[in-house]
Amino acid sequence: MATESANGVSSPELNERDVVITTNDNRNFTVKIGVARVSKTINNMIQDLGESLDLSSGIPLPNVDGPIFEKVLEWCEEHKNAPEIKVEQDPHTRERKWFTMTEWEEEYFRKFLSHLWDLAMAANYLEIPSLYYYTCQKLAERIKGRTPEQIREMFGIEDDLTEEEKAEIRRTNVWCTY
Amino acid sequence: MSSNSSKLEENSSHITLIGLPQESLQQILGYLSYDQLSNVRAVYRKIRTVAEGLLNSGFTQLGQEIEQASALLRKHLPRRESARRAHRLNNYAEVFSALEARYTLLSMTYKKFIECGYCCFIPGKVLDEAFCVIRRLNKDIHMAINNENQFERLPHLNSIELLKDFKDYSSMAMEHFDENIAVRFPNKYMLALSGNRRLSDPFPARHFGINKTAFNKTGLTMPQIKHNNLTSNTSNVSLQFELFKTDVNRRLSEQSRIIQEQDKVIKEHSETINRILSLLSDTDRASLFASSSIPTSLVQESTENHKSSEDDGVILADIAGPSISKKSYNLRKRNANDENKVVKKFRRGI
Repeated sequence: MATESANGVSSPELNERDVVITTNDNRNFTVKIGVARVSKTINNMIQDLGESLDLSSGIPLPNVDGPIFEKVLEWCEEHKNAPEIKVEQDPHTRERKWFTMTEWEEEYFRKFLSHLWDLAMAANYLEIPSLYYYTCQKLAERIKGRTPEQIREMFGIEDDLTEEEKAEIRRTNVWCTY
Repeated sequence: MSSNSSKLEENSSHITLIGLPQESLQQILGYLSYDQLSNVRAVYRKIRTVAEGLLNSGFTQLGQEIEQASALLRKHLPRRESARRAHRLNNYAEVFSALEARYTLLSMTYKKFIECGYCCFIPGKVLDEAFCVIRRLNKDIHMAINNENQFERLPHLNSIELLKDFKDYSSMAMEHFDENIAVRFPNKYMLALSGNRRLSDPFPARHFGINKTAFNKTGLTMPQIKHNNLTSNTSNVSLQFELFKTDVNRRLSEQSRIIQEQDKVIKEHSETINRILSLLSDTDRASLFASSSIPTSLVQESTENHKSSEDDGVILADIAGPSISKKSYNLRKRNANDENKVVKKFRRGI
């Protein structure tokens, strides 16, 4: 089989080509380069490999598993032409601004509500700012207004604090509940 | 198949949380209010570390923001005091100085324990309240500055009403901290000793006593490591006492040396007085002797001299006259001179 190389192909043209990405559970995903490039990590790999990039043998992603990458790809497909987002602060109050999400994004997070931690982790590794910041915001929304017990239950977090430690935290926090 | 995969995902969710880098947790928790950060400390150890870090940096940030805002106000306020008092921004400056005073109090309560790693800045709600006030004021101030310094449109602030919640919450938090939290830190008295208080309080043992009692109240047993601390700090105390003792001893010996010197002077003085008295009796004898061989006019003259002259030596020589042998005359003159010096010295001393 002839090796397909990225060499000598202009950027818009390259974006239309397919690249194979292999996740840590050995699943192969055939993705358009333009979509894969939403991830800065993959984009850097493509740029670094340059001439030696072999589009058919694939790019390995040892830190992401298949089911999560599938979800990430869905996001990338939708955001392939979106401008880069950044965390903003109100210039006067220095308060962090919350992002306003589109209907599609809201729906996306509703669908994958139980995988927010995984998405944040994958987005962090793959360097997808939009997915990363939006997921973090969603997680914060979920945590907001809940008790530690509810948070642990919701995310299936193991309770690794001792009873004394928890009692100590409770005791230090009772000052405002007089 | 689907149940299997969901189970796998559930597990991976847990793994992810542990693997999630600290920055990501900071990013997530950064959206929460400081009050909530105090609460989520009880979720998970890693979350606790991040939340406590955020609370501490929030406290530092509060100090910085108060300082920055005060500096900005100073820049825009007139220097002349009367003009400044009439300025609309003065009202804002007053609120910020009240905030600054409160912040100093909070620092005094929490900072040394935070620095020692005993706790974080626990009362997140206090930070929320303070930031809420600062943000409101900053918005007004920046708006006025950006609007070609139109300060006249600024609303008049009721600083008491504005800071009511912040003051209430911070007082409650500090009170609770002092009464219920700080006393439980097993070796608070070490802190009291090693901190600034040691310099201002000459009786470190008092702190020791108070806190020891407080510690006993908790019914906790002091861990071994604390014992080591205790020993090292006790040796510190004994070293201090040793220094104090040496100092007292030094002063004592100095004092006794002065007393000895004074004794010597007193002894000298009494000797001098005795000698003067004996000389006076000699003079009496001499005058008796003179009455027989020296003409009366001379005796009278010498008596006048005695009254007017300060120099007793001359008087004695005059009184003694030629009838007293040269040797005894010289001796007496020398003695008289000595007495003279001592008397003068004595008078100066008085």
